[in-house]
Amino acid sequence: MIVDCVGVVERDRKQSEIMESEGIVSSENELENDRVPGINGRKRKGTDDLKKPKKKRSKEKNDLYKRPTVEELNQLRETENLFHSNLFRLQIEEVLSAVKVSDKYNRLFKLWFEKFENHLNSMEDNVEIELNNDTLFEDCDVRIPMKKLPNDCAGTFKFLTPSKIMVGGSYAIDTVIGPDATIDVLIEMPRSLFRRSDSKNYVYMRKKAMYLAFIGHKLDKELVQSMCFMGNHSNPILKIIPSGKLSKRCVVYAHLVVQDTTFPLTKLIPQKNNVKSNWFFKSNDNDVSVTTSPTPHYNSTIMYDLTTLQANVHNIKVIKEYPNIRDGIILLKIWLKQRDFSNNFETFNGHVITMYVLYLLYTKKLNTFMSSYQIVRNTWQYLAQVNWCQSGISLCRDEEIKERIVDYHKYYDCVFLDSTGYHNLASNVVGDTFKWIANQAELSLQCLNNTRINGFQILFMRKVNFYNIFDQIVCFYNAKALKNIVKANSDNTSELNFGSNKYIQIVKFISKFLKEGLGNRISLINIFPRKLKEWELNQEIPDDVDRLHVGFQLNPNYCFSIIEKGPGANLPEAHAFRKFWGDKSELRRFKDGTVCEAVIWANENATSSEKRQVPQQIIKYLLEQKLYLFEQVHFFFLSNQIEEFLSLKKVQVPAFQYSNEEASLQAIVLFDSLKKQLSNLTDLPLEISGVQGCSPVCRYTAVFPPLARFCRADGVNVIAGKTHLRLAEEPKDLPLYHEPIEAVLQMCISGKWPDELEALRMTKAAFYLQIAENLRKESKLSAHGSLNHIDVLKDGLPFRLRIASQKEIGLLKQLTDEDGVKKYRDTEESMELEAKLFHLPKITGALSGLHRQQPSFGPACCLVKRWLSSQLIDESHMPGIVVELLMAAIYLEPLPYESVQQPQVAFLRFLESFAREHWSTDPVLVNFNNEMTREETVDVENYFGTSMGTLPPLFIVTPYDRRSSAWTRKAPNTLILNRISDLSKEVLRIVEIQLSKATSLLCGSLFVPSLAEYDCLIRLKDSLNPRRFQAVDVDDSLPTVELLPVKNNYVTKMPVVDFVPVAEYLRELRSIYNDFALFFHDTYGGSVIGVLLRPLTNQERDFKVTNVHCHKLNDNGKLILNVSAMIEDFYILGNGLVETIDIQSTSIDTT
Amino acid sequence: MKMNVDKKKIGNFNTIWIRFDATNSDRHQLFIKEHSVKKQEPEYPRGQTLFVLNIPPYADVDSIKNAFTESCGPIKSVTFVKNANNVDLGFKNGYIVFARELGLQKALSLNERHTLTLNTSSTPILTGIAKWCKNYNESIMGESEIKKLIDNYMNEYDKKVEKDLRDEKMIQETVDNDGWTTITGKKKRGQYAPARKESTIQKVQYKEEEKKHKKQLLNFYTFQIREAKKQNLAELRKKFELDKKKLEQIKTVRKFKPF
Repeated sequence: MIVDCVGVVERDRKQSEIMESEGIVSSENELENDRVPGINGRKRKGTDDLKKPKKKRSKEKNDLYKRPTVEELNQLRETENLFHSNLFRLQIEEVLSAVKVSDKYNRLFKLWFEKFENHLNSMEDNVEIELNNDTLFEDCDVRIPMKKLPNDCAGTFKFLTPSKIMVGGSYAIDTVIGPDATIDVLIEMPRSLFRRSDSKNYVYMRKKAMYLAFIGHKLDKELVQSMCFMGNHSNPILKIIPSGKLSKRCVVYAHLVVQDTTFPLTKLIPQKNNVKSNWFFKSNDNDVSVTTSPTPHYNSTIMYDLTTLQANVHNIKVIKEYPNIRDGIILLKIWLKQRDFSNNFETFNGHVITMYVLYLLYTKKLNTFMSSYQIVRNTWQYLAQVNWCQSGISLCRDEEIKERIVDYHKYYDCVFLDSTGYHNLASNVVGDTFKWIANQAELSLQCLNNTRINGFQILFMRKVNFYNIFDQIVCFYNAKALKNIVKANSDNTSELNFGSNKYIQIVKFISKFLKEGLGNRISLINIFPRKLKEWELNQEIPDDVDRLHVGFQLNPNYCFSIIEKGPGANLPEAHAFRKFWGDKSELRRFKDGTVCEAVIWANENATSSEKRQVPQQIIKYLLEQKLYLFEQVHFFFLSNQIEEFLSLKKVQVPAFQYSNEEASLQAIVLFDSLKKQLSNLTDLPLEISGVQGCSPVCRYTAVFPPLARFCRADGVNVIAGKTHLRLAEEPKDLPLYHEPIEAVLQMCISGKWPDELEALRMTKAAFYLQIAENLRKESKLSAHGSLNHIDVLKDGLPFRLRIASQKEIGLLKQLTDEDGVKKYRDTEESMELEAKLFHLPKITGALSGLHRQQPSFGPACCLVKRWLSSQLIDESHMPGIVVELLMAAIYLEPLPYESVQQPQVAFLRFLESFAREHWSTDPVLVNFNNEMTREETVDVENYFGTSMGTLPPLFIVTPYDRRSSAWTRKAPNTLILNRISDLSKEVLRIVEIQLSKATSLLCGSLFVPSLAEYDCLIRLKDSLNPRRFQAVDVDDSLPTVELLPVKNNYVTKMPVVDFVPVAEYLRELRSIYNDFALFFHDTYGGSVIGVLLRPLTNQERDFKVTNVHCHKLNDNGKLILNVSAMIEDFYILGNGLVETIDIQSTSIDTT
Repeated sequence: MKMNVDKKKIGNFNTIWIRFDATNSDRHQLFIKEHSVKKQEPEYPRGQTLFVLNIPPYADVDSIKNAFTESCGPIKSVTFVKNANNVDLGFKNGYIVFARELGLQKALSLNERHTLTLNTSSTPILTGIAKWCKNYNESIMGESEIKKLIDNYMNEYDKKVEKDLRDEKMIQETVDNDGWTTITGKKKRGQYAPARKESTIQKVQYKEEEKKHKKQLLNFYTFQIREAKKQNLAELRKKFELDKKKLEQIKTVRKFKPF
């Protein structure tokens, strides 16, 4: 009972507290107390009056508990049910308002359009023009926007005023994505302009082109700021930039369409022939197969013009009624545009997706009550499920529509019939493009389902660059060669069908060809949608073919296999296989005993980086052998060019073929065997329970992994000591860099470690000696214990082992307060030690696991590290582990992309993420094994949001470290982050330019730093840099260094390890002059140190004891930086290492 | 260069110059004055100690001693002030104690154009490659040396621990005047007394809280259910507000313009 009493008292107190905080009750006021429901059951009245006199603080709380209005309840509930989350909804609203065309321009356009309409309606002309004319009239320079046909068109053209002019497309249904609007204006040519037979033999197109040219010619110059033609040979458009203020935001596309009754649709179905071959080829050859060959492409072009206007009228009615559907369409169009699929009439575009949403609406897959979010989500869902290439869809519900779809499939890749049931809306969509879009829809859906990330930004706000999506890109830049290929590989029927629209033909041919050759190595192939051509009114129509970018997404299971297994030798398919692969095909006996045709692309012990070249080799082989296209003449690749910077120049490695990954693997194999030896040690006071690696090489991310080799003393620079090799007093030449692999030993738990820090360290040292001795005795390794670590030389590789003891961290953290209570607080030293001995091994384990799942991870990290270093941003500015964690974040959450097979693409994605400056807005989540749940990540995000100011500028969260971002505490700072962002932007810009303009990809310049901006440059002697062969540009004249193979039966002395004079020099410089200058250097063989003076150093300062360092007095008794003495110091400190110091900045006064 | 600087402005410091060796043309400026404060430390006696600011990073005790001895007479000691990070790199401040008071007077009367030289044949300073090579070679210690070091330290430590134990025992055994004995946290009859640690205290407090919590009944009275509903709505609103704030935050750093 007592318990209950407590409960009641407790409850009463709580209740009154709540009520007080609600501002409903004030304990002094009995009257108001009465009104509270729950006390006397009366309805609450007039709470609003009560709230007013309250203090501000309580009012804020009030808002949370006030009675909800119906609207508010609905909205809150709606968000819960109809939207992904509040944030998602708010962001949708934000973005929709951002892409809205402002009312001002809408009004302006309305005025302009009225004038335009009147103007067009008043146009007339009586002159009859021959259809074959190249220009309209003798003295007029407007050229007809159409290619010359192989044969003449008979007849004349006489302009008639348009039968209808209307605004169509996205602007009419308010789904235009602004703020810069493209407005489609449909101009309907009257039926009387055409004869019934005009649909045949290009007469219609000719007349249309003339009509357009006529409008272009006659258009009032007052309405127009500038004009040009756009599009292609069979479907030209007039692009008008309106005059006046409108020109700032609006572009008008004038499309010509024709009255739908002009030609019967049945005459234009794909199986009909509308271009007579004896007319087209001027021959009298009446080959039936050619004369009646269907012209689906030609037909659909006319069909489009016939049906567009009607469809538009219909759409406007439906979509205008339902704003949610409209919003959904806008979002989908933004999504497409971010993926470069919009504003293009030749492939999957905004129009197609709009029609698809309508289709889903008519088939009851969507309904009008859905929120814009649901519209988008469902559309993606259906898009990911359907396959227009096999089972086409139709807006029309005629009875015989099913058969018609089947018919259409014979002529088009994708089928999506419009409401007339005759026109194929997707007639120009290539099958592979559709598959790619479907794949994107699926990914986007995944993104929505993944609650851990802010999907909105990824889906709608980020540009998805072509070169970041695909593992491999081929860029064909020689248009002429491409045209020849089409000519050589197509027959008369397709020429009849496509006419001079070669582009679609090429796209189809190339993608089919390469798909056949690559087979299951690729999962997706796509061709980058081209920009529509534009040309001046008085210019001839440009060629249809242009640069072509083909992207391949590799299938991780098969893409790098070195062998292409064909059919058995005696099977009939073998012949076809041999024919396709030519000389490359050979007979091979396989392990399972079968003898098959096969193509071998690399030898068995090829390095991983060589294997990554296999798809490229195949493409190259096929193009060269079958299409006579050659690299650097007709096309170039974007796949693995920059991997070159990971190769080791001028060094001969014994025993295996060097590549970054192979060398890492070698080191790891040796490390594993050392681990075994360590755990087999007997006779230790405490057993070793675990050995974990910490060096980058253990996670495959060492740019230049340590190489096993035999080192010997030369007596001049390196002198043999008793157990170690030592350095001469003043060496002239240093041996190549030898880096020890660091590892951590875990000892079995024991309570006997001393309770004092120094004593514990001494005990550790005693262990080091003991373990070293046992290693020497039991494992016959050369090992040497010292105060802080054990050095072991295992088969030519030096290892450095340390004992991790939790107690040491505890002792470092421990403090006792005045009450004698022991407290544990992080100190600088404890955090550093804990990171080194405990966190790093853990992360090393996780990252090496990631590399084993996705083998491109390691080299990708190496590329980024190499690049940063080449830009003189070294470990002290941007720690390697931070780069690795950032890369891991990209690998663990690749959305909006898929996982990546080529390191170079991962490198570009890394740069892209930096170019977005994501670090300033979001925490970086490295969610290994998805260990962190949704709640935990939200918690982290909130924490980041609320305490952004106190956190390091780059905040990385891992499941092991959710609050402190231990790796980024000291570096990088904002200055360096900004610098990396700028550099990234620059690289991406160069890559983009090269892809769209250049004839090859030159990566060399990406790895050359610009030295101009540094105040002074310290040039170093190369011979004293043990890493000189790791430089980006190694002097060709240098002799090749051969590493000595390891002798096993020989106890070797410990070589000189981890000795780099430049590193020592930089450490000194940074600790002495950190307040005045920043130092930049390429760790990997750089021979220049860039010095940047901090901005405020050239100011005068008042005399203060704390200010005098490195300063001198000037005539006014103020302190100024003693720059000349400082530079002199650089010489003194780097005595022997420094060659010269160049002073570049004028602000440095050396007098 | 003649300087007419008001000495007061620069805190009564005199200036002289210091350079690395005779071949160097560029010099650092040293700021010196007599070290005299209220609480004069015994190791820096008044009238004999010179306070020096801005000693260049490569200077060591010997070279400074040598340089000042040459111009001001014999010196008892040179001490560098430890800087915040406890690293002996960087510009330093230091105290120079002269053997005689005359030395200090001499130092203070040095002309402001006087230049000291650090690297001389009697006190060579190693910098650059030579220094790093020497450091590297010195970092390699023989195992027997290390062993000796460890043994020495551990012997001392063991003795200290033993003494501590004895002291503790003594305390436990002694009864003070009021008849109280001090008890320590050591093992007693196979049980550990709870350690006086922050974490232990927190754990005990948390357990108490939990106990209190368990005694309460939830979802029992109507008002509790109503409260829960209200709370739910408030949660929703709170979340909405939070998200709105978040959006504002995103908006400040990112424009919602997709293109």
